[in-house]
Amino acid sequence: METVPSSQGFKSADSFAPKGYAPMPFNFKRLDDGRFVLGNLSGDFATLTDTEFHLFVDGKLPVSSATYRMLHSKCFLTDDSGDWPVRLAASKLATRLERNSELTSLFIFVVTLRCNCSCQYCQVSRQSADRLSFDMSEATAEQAVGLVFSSPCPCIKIEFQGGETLLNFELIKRITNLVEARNKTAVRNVEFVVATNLIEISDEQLTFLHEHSFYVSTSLDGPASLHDMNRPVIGLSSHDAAERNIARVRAALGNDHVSALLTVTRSSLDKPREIVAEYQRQGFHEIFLRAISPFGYAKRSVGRTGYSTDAYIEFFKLGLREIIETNKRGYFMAESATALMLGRIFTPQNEGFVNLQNPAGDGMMCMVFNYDGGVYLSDEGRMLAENGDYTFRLGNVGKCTFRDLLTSDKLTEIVDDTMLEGTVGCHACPYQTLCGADPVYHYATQGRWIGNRATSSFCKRQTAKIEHVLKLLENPEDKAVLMTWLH
Amino acid sequence: MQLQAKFDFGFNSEPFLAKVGKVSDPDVRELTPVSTTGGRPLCLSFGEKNDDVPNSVCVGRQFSYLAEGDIVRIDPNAGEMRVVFRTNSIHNVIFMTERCNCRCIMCVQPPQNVDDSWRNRENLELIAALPKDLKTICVTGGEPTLNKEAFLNVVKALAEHLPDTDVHILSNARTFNDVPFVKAYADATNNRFTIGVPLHGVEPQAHDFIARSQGAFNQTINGLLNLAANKRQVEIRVVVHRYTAEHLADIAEFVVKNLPFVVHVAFMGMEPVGYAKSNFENLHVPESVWWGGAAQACKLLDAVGIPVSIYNVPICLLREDLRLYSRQSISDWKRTFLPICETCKAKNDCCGLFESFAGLPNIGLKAK
Repeated sequence: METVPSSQGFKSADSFAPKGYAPMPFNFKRLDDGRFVLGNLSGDFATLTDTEFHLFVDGKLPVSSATYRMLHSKCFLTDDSGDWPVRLAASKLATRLERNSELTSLFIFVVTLRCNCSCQYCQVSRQSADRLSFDMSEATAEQAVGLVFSSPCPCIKIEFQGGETLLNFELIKRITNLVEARNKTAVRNVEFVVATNLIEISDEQLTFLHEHSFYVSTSLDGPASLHDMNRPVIGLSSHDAAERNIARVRAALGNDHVSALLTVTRSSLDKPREIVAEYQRQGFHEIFLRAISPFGYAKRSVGRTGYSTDAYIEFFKLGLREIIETNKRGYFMAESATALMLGRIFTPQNEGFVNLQNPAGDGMMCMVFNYDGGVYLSDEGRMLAENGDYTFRLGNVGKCTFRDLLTSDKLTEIVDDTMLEGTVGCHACPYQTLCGADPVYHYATQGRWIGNRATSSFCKRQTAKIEHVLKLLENPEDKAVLMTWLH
Repeated sequence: MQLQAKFDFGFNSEPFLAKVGKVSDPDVRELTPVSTTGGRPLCLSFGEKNDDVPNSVCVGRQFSYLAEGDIVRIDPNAGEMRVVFRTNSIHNVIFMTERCNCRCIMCVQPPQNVDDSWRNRENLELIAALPKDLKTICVTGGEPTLNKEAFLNVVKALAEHLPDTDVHILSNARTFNDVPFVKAYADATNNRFTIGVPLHGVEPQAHDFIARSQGAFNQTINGLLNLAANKRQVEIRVVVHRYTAEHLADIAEFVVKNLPFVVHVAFMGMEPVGYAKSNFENLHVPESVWWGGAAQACKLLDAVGIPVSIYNVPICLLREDLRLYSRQSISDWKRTFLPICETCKAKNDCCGLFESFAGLPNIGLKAK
C-alpha cells in the first residue's frame, strides 16, 4: 500500500517548496526600461524586472515567490518537483511542429493575369482584360490538380488568384469540378477560396460559388475616397461596386463567407479611424492592418504609395487602438495579425499562416501554380517572377512530381536557411514562436533570402507589433477585449 | 433520499446483490439475488410484515422509490441494506475503494486507509447485472485506480458489457504516470470513457498544498499527458475555495496552453461534507470573490472551443454573465432546495443545494 499523506490540518505551504532549481533554455531581450521579456521553445512568455531577472539567472530567485511559481508553470525552470515542465514543453513544441509536418495545404491557382482594375500598389504586372495569352490553360490546370492530391495534407485549401479571377470563371469551374471529382476517392477536407475585386460578379457565378461552399476574399481599403484612389477603375467607383457586390455575396453565400483584405498605402496612414469605421459600416468583423508588399510591380510605385516602417508601426498602433475601442463600444472586430499572435501566445497551436513559419512555410505549406504552369513556393515569389526574377520558381507542373518540388535543391536550401534557431539575429530572439522567416521578403528587400535581421524592416515591424501586443495584454481592459479574438 | 438502512433479515449469509423484479403490488418489492455467492430471494414490504410470504422483510416507506431493475446490496449478518443502482437515476456509481493517495483539504469523502478489496468482486457482479441500455455510469472512490489490476478488470467489464454506455471516471490521474498502465487502460477502453481529473493550481506548490501530497502535481500532469498520448478523453475539475478562487483565470490559461486536448472543464462549488466541512471556515469564500476570475476563465475556454461548466453553485449566487455555464450538477439523491427557493422562477434551471448545506448558516440565497 502506498504511503498515505497526512489528513490532519493544513501542512504549511512552505513544506511543499522545492530545495533548488535549474533554468530551462530560453531567449530574452530588453522590453523597456527596467524590464526583460523571456520566451522559450514552448511558446511561453514572461516579463521580469531587472532585479528578478538577475536573481533568476543567478539561481537565487526565492522558491516560494510568485515570480518563481509563474516561471515554473510556464516551463522556464525545473526543480525537484519532477519532470513535468519538460514534458509540457515537449508536448507544446510537438503540437506546434505537427502542422509543418503535414506539408502543403494551400494551393494557389493563378487562373489569369488579366484585370479590370489598375491598382496603384498592384503586385502583378496586370494585363488588360482582353489578352487571353495570360490565362491558365486547361491542360496546366489538370496537371496542377494532380500535384494537389500528391500532398499528404488532410486539409487542402484551393485559392484562386489573379489578375481578376472572375474574368476566367470557366477555368475556376473546371478546376473546382476536377478537385471535387478527385476528392471522392481522396477524401480530404477541401475548402475553396476565390480572391476577386468584386467589380463585377454575375448571379450565375454566385450560384456556382454557393453550390461549392466558396469563401470570397476581396479588397476594401477604407472609405470611398481612399479606396477609389488606391483602386481606380475607368468609368465607375470601385468602392461602390465592391460594397454592392459584397452585399450580394453575403446574401448568396452567407455572412461568414466573405472577407476583406486591407492594403495600407501612404494615403491610409492618417486615416486609421475612418478605415476601421468603414469595416464596421460594411459589417466586417475582422480586419488585417497589413503593410504594403514591396514586391514586383508594387516596388515601382513605392514613391507614390510607400512609407517608412516607423510610419507603418505608428499606423498599426493607432488602428489597433481604434479596433479595441470599437469592441468596447459593443461591435466585435478582430485584427488578424494580433489574433494570430494571441493564438500563438495562449494556445500551442500553429494556425499555419505561411509568412510566419519556422522554417519558412513557402513551398512546405504553400504552393502556387502560375497561369503559365510555373510552380512557385509563394504568391510573392510568383509576383517577383512577373518582373523577370525567377528565383522562387521550383519547376513546372508538366515536368515535376510533388516529390521533385518538395525535395528540390532550391526548396531544401531555403528550408535550411530559414530555421530561426540557426539564423543570425533570430537565434537569440524570444519571439521565435510568434514569428517566422519570410525568405521572399528578405530576398526582395535585402537581396538574400536568409536576410540580415539587423537592418530588416520585416524584423523591425514584427518586433514592434509583438511588443505592442505584449504591453496591451498588461492592461486588464484591453486584455479582456483581446482574449475574445482567440478561436 | 435514503439509500441505506438497518433491518433484521432473519437469516445469516454472506453479503449479496439482488435485483428488484417487476412491481405488481405498490407496497411490495421482490428481490432476486444476482451474486454468484448465493443469497436468497427476499420480499421487501413497506406495509405490514406478511408472514405468508417467505423471507418477507418490513422496510420503511422511504424505500418505496425502488423500481424494477434497481439493485440493492444485502448484508444479512450486519443487518444492512444499501441501494447500489437505481434505474431512474443518471447518478449511479461503481465505488472502487475508500483509499486514496491524496488528502485534499476540501475532500467530501475523506479516504480511509482500509482494506476494502472485497468490493472488487462485487463490482464485477454489479456491472454484469446492469442494463445494456444504461446511458451513463461513474467510477469513483477514493482513488479508483489505486489497485490497478482491479481497476482494469472493472473498465474491461464495462467496455465489454456496456459498449453504449458513457463511463465517467473520477481519478486524480496520478497512477496514469505509469505508461504501461495507461496503455493497458487504453487497450481496454474506448472513447466513451472520460477521466475527470482535479487540478488545484498551475504549479506544484499550489496543487500539492491543496492535495496535501508532495509529488501529486508532477504525477497528475504526466498522467494527463500519457492519457492524451494514448487518445483517451480527460476532463479537468477545479473545486473553488479560498486557495483556488483567485487563480481560476490562470488555471484556464494553463489548460488552454498546456492541456488543449481536454474535453471539458468544470469549476465546482464545494460540497460541505468531509474535510470540506471540517475546514469550512478556512475554505469558504463568498462567490463574489471569484466571479471575475471565473468569467475570464469561462470566456477563454469557450472561445477556444473547450466546453466549460460551473457546477454546484445555485444560480442566484452567480453573476449574470456566469449563469449560462451553470449546470444541474448535484446528484438527485443529495440535492435539496430551501423554502426561499419555492417561489424562485429559476428553480427548474438551478442545480439547487447539497443537502449538507441545510444545516449551515445561510450562504446568501435569494429568490428571483
